[in-house]
Amino acid sequence: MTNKATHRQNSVFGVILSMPAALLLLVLLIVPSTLVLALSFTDYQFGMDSFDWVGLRNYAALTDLSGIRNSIANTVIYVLIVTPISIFGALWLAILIERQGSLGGLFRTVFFLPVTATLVAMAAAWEVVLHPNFGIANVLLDVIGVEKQRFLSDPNLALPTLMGIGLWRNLGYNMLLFLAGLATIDRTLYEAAALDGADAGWRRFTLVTWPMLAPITLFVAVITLIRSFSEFETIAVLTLGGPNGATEMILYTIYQEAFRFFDIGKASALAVVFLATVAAISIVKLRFFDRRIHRG
Amino acid sequence: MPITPAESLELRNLTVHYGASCALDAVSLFVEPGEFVSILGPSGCGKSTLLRAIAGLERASAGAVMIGGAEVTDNAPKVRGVAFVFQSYALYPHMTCRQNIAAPLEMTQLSSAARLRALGWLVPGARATKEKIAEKVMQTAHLLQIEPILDRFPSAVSGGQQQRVALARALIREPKLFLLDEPLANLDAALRHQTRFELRALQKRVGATTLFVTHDQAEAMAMSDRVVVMFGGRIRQIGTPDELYRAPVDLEVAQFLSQPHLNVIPAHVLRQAAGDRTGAGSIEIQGKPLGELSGVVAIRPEHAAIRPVTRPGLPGPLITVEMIEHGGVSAYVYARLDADGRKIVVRVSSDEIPNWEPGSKAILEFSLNAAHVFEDASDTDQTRAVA
Repeated sequence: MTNKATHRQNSVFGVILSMPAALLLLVLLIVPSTLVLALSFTDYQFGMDSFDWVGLRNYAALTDLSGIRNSIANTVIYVLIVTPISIFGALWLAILIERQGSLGGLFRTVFFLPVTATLVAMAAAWEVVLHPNFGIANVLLDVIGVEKQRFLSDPNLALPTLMGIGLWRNLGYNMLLFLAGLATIDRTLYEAAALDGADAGWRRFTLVTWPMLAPITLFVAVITLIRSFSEFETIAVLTLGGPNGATEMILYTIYQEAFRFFDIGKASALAVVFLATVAAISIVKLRFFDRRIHRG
Repeated sequence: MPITPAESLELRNLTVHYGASCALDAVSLFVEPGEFVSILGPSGCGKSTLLRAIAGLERASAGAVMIGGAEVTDNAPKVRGVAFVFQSYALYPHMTCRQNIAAPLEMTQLSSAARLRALGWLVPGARATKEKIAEKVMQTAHLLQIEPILDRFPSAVSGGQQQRVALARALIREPKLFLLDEPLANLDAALRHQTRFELRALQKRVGATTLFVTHDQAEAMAMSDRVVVMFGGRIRQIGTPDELYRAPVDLEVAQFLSQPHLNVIPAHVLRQAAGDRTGAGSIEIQGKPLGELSGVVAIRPEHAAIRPVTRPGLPGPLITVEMIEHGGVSAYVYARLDADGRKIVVRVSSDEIPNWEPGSKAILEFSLNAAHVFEDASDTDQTRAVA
């Protein structure tokens, strides 16, 4: 058999092997996204028989609606606060837990538990914990002599409360990723660092730990960013976007436009903007950092 | 290159436990300033543990480490003034070779703030220190001839160059003691040979006291002033390469030092085959009469010879050739002793390969003066063929 024939056979085989994944990608991602993109240029209403092409009118409308502007602002605040704390807090926890010998397993489990449970169920549990009258949070506040708080219905407190729940959920997940990353660091690098004068604390962290964790940090950052942008369950269960729009966030707004007001066109336009933003940030991040991590 | 004067190293009953098992068992050793000492032993004998305990990477359970006469047993690795070259080199992969070499000085001479690229210039004195470090890096790089690769990342240079960078990173600290943990193990054969030569020359030039861990006896013999042979966490023998070769202290050491094989024949087997006297008188091995010998006789392949059974000569054990291995100028004949089937290896000139077809019978001869007698060694030979 000639080399060329083998090569062609190999590439045919490669195409066959990648078919299942490609098909799934097409059905689950590319076709729906294309449909959403198409719908965003229409005035389609859920349940209607026909629709008209309206060009960019849905997109123009997005900038006008104060409700949507509020939703975007809330999302940005949420992401800017939750993402960095979720990343660096988890890194800090992971380093603390890694050094713990016997209790490490316990802490790992405690922090990872939120990840294993369904968030909707967990949100319901939070509702009980945060109940204005008999929730344990207020009972504790009462014990230390602080006034009772209406965590979910106070407009100034609702968004920070959701941030807290988001952190509680993200920390465990990210911590586990960082723990896995820490475990892969070559021990001899730490030993070399110890001999080079960086045997503990900040010096050791900057010389070995942080640079060696860079790939995992990038992954954690992208994942956390996407998860924060797509916050939905806690709003749907706990606040329904209230009080007075204080916890409206993009994904929830899309959901409302589509399935409460049945304005598929506008919801699609919002979804497209959302998708483009998240994708753009992720790609920039990957592009920029990937080169710095895998240099040489 | 300026270097701090070489210091002596002394170990007093140094012991290291891993849980219940003893990795290092009361090791005592004195190394003269400037000496190059190899620590030789099979894998798992504790030689790396010994090196790591000297560096402070392993906690001593008992005993003392003294460097330059001062006890450092409980000191942190960074204050012991030792440099360590890891088998894997342990270069920081995210830093250029230049940054790797500079790391030990930057870590000890600059504060955290001064090391920041953006803010470093604000810290008083940082600039002068950095310039001094940069100059030192260039000097060290020049010594190891790695200037051209300084701005590449470790992953972009060859194994031999990585090794030099690791050496440079160790040397730049002007260590009192230079600890090398199998630094040649990851190099290919040709490079290993060249590097061991260069390493020794480098050590002579900088004059640092050096401990070199290896499992390769040829490497240890070729490079060292003295060799420490370790088995099972204990030192078995300390001596110059020549002493080890001429007078191994016991059978195990002799076997470890003899490549590819040490022929071990119980005295009584030899007696049966060769008798205990010739026409000229009684046969003596290293001055001991064979007739009264107990234990085993050990013969290196290079001290053994074979002759065809048809050729006349002194009586000797009969062997059957199994195969012959070409080794360039010489060849190794692998054979079995007819009396009990044990493995025998004889070095012959490669010109003789055609004479020794597998299956041919021969008589084993050896130099009586070069053979070793281990009278209290029991015959633990595992090489006998299953008949």
